[in-house]
Amino acid sequence: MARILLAEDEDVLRMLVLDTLEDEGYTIDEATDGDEAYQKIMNTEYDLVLLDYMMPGMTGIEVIEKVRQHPDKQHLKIMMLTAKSQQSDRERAEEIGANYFFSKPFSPLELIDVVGGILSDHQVD
Amino acid sequence: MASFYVVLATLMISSLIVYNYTDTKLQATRAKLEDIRDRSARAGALWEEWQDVQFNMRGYALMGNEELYTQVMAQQDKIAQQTDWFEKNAIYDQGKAFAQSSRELYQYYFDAILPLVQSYVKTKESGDITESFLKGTTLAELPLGQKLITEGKIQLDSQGNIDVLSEINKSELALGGYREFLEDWAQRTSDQLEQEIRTTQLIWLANIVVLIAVLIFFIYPFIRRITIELLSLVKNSQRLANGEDVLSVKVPNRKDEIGILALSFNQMASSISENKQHLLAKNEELQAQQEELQAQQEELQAQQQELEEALELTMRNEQHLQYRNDLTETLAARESLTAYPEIIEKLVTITDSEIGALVFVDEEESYSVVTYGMTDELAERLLQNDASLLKRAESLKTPVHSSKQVASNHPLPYPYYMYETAVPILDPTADDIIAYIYLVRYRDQFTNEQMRDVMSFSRQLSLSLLRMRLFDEMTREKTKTERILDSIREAVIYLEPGKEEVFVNRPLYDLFPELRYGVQAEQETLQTCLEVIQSVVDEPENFSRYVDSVLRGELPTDSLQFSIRNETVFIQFYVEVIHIHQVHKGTMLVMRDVTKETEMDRLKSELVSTVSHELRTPLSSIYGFTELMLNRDIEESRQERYLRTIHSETERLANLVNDFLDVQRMESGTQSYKKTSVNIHAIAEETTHFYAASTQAHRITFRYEGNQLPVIEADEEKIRQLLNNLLNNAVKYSPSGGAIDVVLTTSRDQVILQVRDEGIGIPKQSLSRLFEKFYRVDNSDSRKIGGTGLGLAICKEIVTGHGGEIHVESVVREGSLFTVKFPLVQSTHVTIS
Repeated sequence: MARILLAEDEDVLRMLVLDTLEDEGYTIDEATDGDEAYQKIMNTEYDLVLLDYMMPGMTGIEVIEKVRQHPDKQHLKIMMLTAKSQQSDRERAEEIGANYFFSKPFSPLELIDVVGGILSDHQVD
Repeated sequence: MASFYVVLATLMISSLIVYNYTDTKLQATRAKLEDIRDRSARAGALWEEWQDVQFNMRGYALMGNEELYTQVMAQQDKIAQQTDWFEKNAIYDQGKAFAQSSRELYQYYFDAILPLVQSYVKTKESGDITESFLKGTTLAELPLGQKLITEGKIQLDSQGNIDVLSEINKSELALGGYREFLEDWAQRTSDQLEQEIRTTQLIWLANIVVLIAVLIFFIYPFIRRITIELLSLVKNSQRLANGEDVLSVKVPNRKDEIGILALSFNQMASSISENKQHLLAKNEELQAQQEELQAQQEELQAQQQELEEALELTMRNEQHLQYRNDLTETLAARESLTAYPEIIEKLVTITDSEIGALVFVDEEESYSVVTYGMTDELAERLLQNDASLLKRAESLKTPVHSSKQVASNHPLPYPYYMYETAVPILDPTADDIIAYIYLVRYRDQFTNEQMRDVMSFSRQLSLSLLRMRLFDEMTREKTKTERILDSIREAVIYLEPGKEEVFVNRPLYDLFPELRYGVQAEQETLQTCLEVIQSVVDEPENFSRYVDSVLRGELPTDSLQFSIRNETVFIQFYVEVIHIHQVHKGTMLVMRDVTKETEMDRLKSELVSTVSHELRTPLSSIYGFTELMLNRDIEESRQERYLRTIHSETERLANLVNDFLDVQRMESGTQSYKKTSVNIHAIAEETTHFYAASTQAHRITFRYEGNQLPVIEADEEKIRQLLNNLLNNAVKYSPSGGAIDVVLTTSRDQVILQVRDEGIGIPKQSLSRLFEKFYRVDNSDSRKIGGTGLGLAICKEIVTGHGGEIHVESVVREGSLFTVKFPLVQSTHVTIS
């Protein structure tokens, strides 16, 4: 089953996402700040990374920037979860290499659908 | 000439011969004389010797001294020598006689007497004779004596003594004769010598005389000739020197120096004569010229006289003009005010007056006066006295004159006339008098010319005064405008088309202090202003684009907002154009410091952003969990977890909203407190226990250390909020647990509450800003913890609203201490909650 990294500093949200996705059978790794997220990404092959925008240490944006510098991480799918929802933020995220964008508050059911869609594509590839 | 030399030679030779001859002769005579003297001396010496021998002989005979005998022997030799000499060398008869007698004596004495005496002595020595004194008879009795007598070598005298004396006397006689002879001969020789000398002298004298005669005979004519010629030259020279005409001298036919001299003299004389003629001619010429020059000079002098007169006149005129120019210039210059004393002085001078005054009338009809030569008293009278000329001029509004005989003794001895004139100066735009010129002369009236001066001056003065008034008004207006502009808060640059200088107000300098350091002038140039501004603008392109379009005439409709000095100051920039009667007069560039507002806006938007961000998390979780619960089958334990989470998140949400509203209220100043006397012991204790229960990682304790009741005048709810905030922070910011101590204590007039934690601490640089709204410590530890940044701001607001203070001390990674102080209330009325 797909392996997902969840990087989110707020405990309750982490719990939410975790519960939401674990029941779908995904393996979820957690990270509570940007640095931890980065480390885990570099050390593990993830099928999808769910990245919060605002985190202590490196922000989500910074993590993506750093990650995308590595050639082998170009195809890593990254989804940003953020309270920031302005068009400019999306554009910025897309610019630096985020593949997907999800704003808070979100519907967990929607999240399941989207994640499923992403990962099934992946599986097809 | 030759004969002369011959004669001379002959003379010399003959002189020599004569000299030789006389000399020889003299020598011979001298020699002869010498010889005679010598002989005399010898004879004398010989006689002396005889005397001496006799003496010695007697001595010897008496004493028998051998020494004497020896001496006698020596003497004998000497006598023998001398006697020999005489015998050989006697020339004269007397000499010969003397020689002979000497010889005889010698023989007698030494051949006879001496041996006899010797025999006597020997006999005496042997003792045969014992007499002390020699007796002549004794000698005769001696054997030798007897012998000698027999031989006839000795004679006896009448007494029977040896006759010695007769021989000696004989000798003496001879000597005497000889000496006499010698004397006589010497004398004669001496005379001869003298004679010869005299002769020689005469010869010499004659010689000399002859010589001289010869010389004279030969030389005299020669000399005489020369002398004559020289005299002639001398005479002529003198004549020439005296200025007489001398033509020439006779040139002697000589080739020597005198001849040359004479020739030269002639040349000189002729040359001089020539020159003299020449000079005389020249002299005449010069004289003629001189007369001519003199005539010219007289003419020139006459002309010069004329010129001088003209010059004087010109100078007078020039001075006059100068004065007038000075006056005009002074009036034209802006500083006329200070030059008035000078002006009146000049006016007095030009018009040949004695005293004068300028009287000024200002808008309020009060007078001020500048005088020259007037006492203050006189000035007073002029202004005050109703009958004064000034008053008449005032009423008539034309120049007035007066003349009067002065009745006092001052300043001139009277009687004298005083001529006054007062000229009013009118404002051409209105009809009122703005000044007067007042002049006084003593001797005579003011001439027309002088009055013309005064009138022209009065016109100038009038214009000048008006100009000054206008200028003053203008300055006042300008100052007013400046004041107005300085008093507003906005910075203004006012520029007029075509002028480089711009007007700026004080706030511009406040905004851009750099302008002060440049060229300090009342006027800045647009260039300098823009340069300075652009140098501090953060985005100069925007600014210059905006300004350029303004200067081009394309006025922007919007204002421009820009920041300077790295976003420390924000400026709102707009432009207004000033039109007067449809003419573009100027442009105002206005800059407003909107830093505060910008900051406020920023803070507000940041707050909204932060709050909305903070809102989203609890909202997300509530939404999420509820959706899960509605759409899935969740097992019970999970359900409970979810519900608790929803509950606490809702609370979180509520708190957030409350905090936000609190802050809004504080911002708008609508916060009010319901204060009563509250003993905060209970509140503190309760809150502490509540938190203690809610966390297991921390040891939260409460301690009361006061000795009074900690009563304060407070809104209880707010105090609770305060304590909650502090404790919440303490817990939140010590994520690894530790002790949290709450200490309540009192001092004389304060209640002191302290909350200490052992958490992550606060960096030093953040301490000063800690109580600011939305301020959050920006390090990784704090960011992790999050928060709105409002908690401490609310605390401070509450504390200040209760008349207290709040402080913080902290060491990073060790912990923090918050201290709150309230004024203690001494009250019996206490609300215990």
